[in-house]
Amino acid sequence: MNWLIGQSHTFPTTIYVRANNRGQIQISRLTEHEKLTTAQLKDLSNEILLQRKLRSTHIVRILGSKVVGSRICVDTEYCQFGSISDIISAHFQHGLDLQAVSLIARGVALGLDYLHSNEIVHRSLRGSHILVNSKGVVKLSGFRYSIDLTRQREKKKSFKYVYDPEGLPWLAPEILEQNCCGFGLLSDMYSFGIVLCELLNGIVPFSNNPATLIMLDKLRGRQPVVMDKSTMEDVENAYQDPVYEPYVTRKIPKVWHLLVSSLTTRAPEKRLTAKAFLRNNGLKFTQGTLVEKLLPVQAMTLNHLRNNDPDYFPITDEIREPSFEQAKWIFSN
Amino acid sequence: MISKKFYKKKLIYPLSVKKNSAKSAGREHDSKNEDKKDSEKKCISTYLDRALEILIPEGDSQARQNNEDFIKLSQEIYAHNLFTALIKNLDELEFESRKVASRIFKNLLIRQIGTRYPMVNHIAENPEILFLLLDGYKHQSNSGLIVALCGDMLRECLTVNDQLVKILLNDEKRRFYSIFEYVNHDAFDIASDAFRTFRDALIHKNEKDPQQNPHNQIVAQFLNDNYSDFFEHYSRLLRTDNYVTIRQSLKLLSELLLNRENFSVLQRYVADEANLKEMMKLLAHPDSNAIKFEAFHVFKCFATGL
Repeated sequence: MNWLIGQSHTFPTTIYVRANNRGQIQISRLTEHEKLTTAQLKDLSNEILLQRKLRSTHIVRILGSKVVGSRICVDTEYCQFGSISDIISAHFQHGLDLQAVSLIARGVALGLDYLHSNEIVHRSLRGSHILVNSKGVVKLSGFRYSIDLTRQREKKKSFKYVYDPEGLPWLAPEILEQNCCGFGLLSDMYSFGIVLCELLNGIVPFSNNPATLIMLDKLRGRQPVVMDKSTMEDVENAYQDPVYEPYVTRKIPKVWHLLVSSLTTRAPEKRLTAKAFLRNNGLKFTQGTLVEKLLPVQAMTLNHLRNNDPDYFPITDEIREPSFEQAKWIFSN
Repeated sequence: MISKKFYKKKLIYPLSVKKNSAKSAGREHDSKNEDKKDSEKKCISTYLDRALEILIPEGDSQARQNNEDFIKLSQEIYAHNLFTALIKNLDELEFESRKVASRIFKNLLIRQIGTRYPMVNHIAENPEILFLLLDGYKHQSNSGLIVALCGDMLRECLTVNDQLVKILLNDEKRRFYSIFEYVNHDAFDIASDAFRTFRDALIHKNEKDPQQNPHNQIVAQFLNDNYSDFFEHYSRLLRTDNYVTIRQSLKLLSELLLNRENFSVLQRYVADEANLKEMMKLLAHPDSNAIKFEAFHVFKCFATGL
């Protein structure tokens, strides 16, 4: 059985959940080869080649890849909670609980630390690329634009700028600048800062602005803020506008404000590294699992899929059975 | 005084270490005792980490001191032919230390002393290394890591020096042709990795001086000498039912034929009616516009070449 659970906006990719021949649940991403441009095909193979070099509990694992007719099928492990932007839009429009945020932040930082120790820039870290599985383990995915700096010969900088309008709010200023200084591992930390804002505020900073304005704002060094009583004072009519209501009444500890501002500094060398973040960030990592903290959002288990529960399954009417007959699957444990 | 002591310790340690790891890497294969194997694996991992630290020092203060260490270390590596052992036993290493091994390899490869590349000379003397890397595509376990690393190392070899391209292409045992199998592999990741290597072997873009391109001249010579063999293998790629293989090989074919160095190859190619027939078939491919599009770019060679 296969269930369609999503579709990519930018790629001709459909995402299915299915049980493999060993009975395990996994994700199959089918990409229409015909609709890919040569550059996109290269990006796709880049993603797979890079991702299979990684093995960490905080990185989504690739299980196999295969050409099926005119489609390229990539199998990855299944994360039952979906991405954190799914979780936010499902229930936490005004941001997650602080304990949940610190657990997610820790998971992301561990993933980033692993990547950075391998000298890989993730380059498109954002809410929709951070997944959570049924045990509450945070995993990174979305390595399409990631760059392996060990191939850059000593410089530890990359100059590969790709057009990626969707990821604009998360991109570091030095990537947008596209100048000869290039960008490095610390650009991911900027994106991480934006992700923290996304988690705490429930909305992505810069997200409603036109592309040029985002770029100008970032180049001028404007930093996103965590919205609470202290920061909302500067905003006009904050106390009258009902949109801001949940924010003006809450108080978020100062450490979060400091973290976000030190992660989103304009100068990359002044940002915290993933290692430093893990070592000393003033956050208390609470006991208990992420799964409890995410309630009432629940993992999308096989039962939900079987019952076609509309809450968990927004695109039911579009389900089509992809043909897997020709495929001889190759699974490396 | 202290620094001298430190220096000595640092120097001796990695050297003996490297020898050991060469020995144990060779021995590992027949070691049946699992516990012993595990501890050996750990040992080799620490040795490799140490070696990487010497090659790529963190921070600049130590850089000068490490320079001498580095020379000694690399000499030891060459003398013991460490990479032959390492690549052969890559799948026996721990997951992360496989990557460390490949980074050491890549780092040594681009080191230059004057106009000389010591590592390139080393490989040229031991061409077995290149073919071991090529054989890496046979490994399909371990989520393709070995394929990825061997592919990376091999591509680095091909781009860094033309001498190695020559060795790979003009092998007496014609081992290079095995890449045609890997390119058409069932698994998309292995196939596309092999395809990148294939492409890097045949096409090189020299941005500094487009007039001078010794790499492409070597390829042109190779294609001229082995014209019928090579294109027989190549046309087999165009006749597979793997959609991605056809598309990618058509693209590469058009680029290859339009390389200025390959003009005589182009003339031979377009003179053959069978090739024209094949392209016309692909131009009328029933399912795919992308294939038609790529086929057109080869087809236009016939129009202009005749």
